[in-house]
Amino acid sequence: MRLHADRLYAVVIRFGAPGGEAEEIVQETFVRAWRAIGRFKGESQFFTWLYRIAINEAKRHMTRRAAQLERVASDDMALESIGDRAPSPQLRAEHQDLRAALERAVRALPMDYRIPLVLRDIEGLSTAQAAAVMQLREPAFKSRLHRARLAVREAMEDYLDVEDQA
Amino acid sequence: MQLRERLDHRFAQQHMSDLVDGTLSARRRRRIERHADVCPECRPLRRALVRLVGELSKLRDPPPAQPTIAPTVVERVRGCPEAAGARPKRSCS
Ligand SMILES: [Zn+2]
Repeated sequence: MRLHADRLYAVVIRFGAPGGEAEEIVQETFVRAWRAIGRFKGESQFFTWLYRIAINEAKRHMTRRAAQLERVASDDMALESIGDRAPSPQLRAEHQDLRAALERAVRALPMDYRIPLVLRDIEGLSTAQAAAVMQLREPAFKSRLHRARLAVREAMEDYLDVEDQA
Repeated sequence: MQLRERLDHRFAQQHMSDLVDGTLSARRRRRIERHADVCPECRPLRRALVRLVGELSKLRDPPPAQPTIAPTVVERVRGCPEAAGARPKRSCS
């Protein structure tokens, strides 16, 4: 359980919740999970649900802060523009490191695209698990994941689109 | 570009993530691979997505500075009287 709490904390932080709020979200999620534990048949069903609650909680917190933090009006519009929000040359110099640039690109994704990317590519959930967490059919999940990757690729062009050495 | 090439291109652009994730049938995989080997757009796309997915998986380990919250969570859940009918030891608030 400790392991899952820390994992979930990392995920909620990636969804954009600041430290204090993320801690609150994870605690709330576990308290709710603990109350409902009897309803779940297997561990996998339980953890799917755990992620789902945490995501919904995080979304709720984020929506409250939407005005300053997120452009939620149109996911498509925001998705197209994440390339524009990639670091300027000066900023890029400050964030030379690929990891930092990648974290920034992921954070710039609208929530509906960031969630599939975080669950599948960062957290390593299977497509089936991640789709279940998001309550999406697999084809819809895959298409969202693909679009999220394309947007991050565009923002990370200078880092990723280099010819193979050798 | 011929019709066949255009269709292959569109298919490759839509399913490159499936190729990278290894979820395509052998036939579809061959179709994309053959096309990507010669297409000036799909070839870099394949390379970039392979790298991207590799790099993203490395983000999984949280930065070392991140505090561990597990003990607080465990304490709070244990202390909550509503928690699965457990006998409360301390306040739930
Ligand atoms: Zn192509």
